[in-house]
Amino acid sequence: MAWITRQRLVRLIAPLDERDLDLWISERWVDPSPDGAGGDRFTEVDVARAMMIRDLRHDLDVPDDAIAIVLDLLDQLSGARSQLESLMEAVARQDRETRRKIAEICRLRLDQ
Amino acid sequence: MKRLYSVLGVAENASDADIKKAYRKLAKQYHPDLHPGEATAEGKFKDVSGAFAILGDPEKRKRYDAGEIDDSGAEMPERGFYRHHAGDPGARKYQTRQEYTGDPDLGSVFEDLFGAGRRPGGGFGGQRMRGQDVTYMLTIDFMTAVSGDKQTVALPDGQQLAVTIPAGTKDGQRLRLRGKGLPGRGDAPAGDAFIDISVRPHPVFRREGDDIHIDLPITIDEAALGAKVAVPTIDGEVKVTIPAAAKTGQTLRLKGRGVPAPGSARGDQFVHLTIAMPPKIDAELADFLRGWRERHGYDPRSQPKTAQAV
Repeated sequence: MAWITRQRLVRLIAPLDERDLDLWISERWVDPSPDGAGGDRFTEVDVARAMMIRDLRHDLDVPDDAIAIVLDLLDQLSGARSQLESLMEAVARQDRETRRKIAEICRLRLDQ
Repeated sequence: MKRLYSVLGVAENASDADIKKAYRKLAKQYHPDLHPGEATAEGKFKDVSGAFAILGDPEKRKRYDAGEIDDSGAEMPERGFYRHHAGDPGARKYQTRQEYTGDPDLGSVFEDLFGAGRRPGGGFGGQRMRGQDVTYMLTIDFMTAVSGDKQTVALPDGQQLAVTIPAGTKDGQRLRLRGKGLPGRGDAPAGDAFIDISVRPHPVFRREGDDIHIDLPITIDEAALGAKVAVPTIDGEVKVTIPAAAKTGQTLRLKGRGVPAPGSARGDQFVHLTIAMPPKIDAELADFLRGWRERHGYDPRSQPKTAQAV
């Protein structure tokens, strides 16, 4: 999987700096993999997450404790979406009649 | 402000003509061939012409402004938004798997589909079970920080911690040792150990970014006539040529003798010359100078002709 070094990531999160990145890592908001020599590797996912935190912090001026809440909710939402998607895939593999029955119950309940 | 604009000293909305003018002015100021005595001219000139190579080319300038290329002209990866990756296998470590908290009759359905609500490894529920993090402080020598090292640290409780200090570690940097914190509950993983690093100053070397700076005293004869002298670097002594007619405050640049920086080019060492008078002015030197100044006197305190009268 493609990855970049800490040095490169620090340039990408400018004007925030290495101390900010250190904070995000100790809070586990960004969780790089070890490179075996005491340093870190940041995958595309890690970079996208760091950029998102940077946007919240720098562009939108969101304070750190609010960022923790935003990320927590976001991660809960991703978790729920993954579950929903796996369910959808299971439904998709059913025969038409079964799918119809499932869809009927869903719509009934959601329209309540 | 984007860095290349401040290198040329222009605003980000400067016209192409203004940029060219600014470059010409700085190029004249720093061109090494026009300033042969200035050791720092080469570095500054490279910086300035590098900036113009991008800002002076309308196509490159447009791409640089848009964030498609960086200071050196290298392609920037296209910015991805986290939501594109949120469902990737690589993002699973960030996801929180949900417990079911709705209709109790449906709870068993949820379990059949997705397994039990709490997962030891994942997200917020999991974080409560993973062991706590601990933070330590460690003071290391300048040379250890610069070259990197493996050290064994004794903890207050008698345990030993093996720490790899990467080459180029900076004062104030925080190292992370995975799994070396407090143990987790049950089969949950241990927390991490964070080490806040303090670097002791070195009697000879000073660090600024990725560069090393030293002050080098030279004799009056070495300054006047030039010489080859031994200069300390972090790799050991190197022989450096002091040019004739060296001045106090003159700086020599030793390329690639700075701090190794993983993932980018190594920094440089800058040698700042200071002329040291002999410990004693002997009679021979005093007599010579008295005669010499009759014929070759000079005034280092004279005002430049362009100075305004106060």
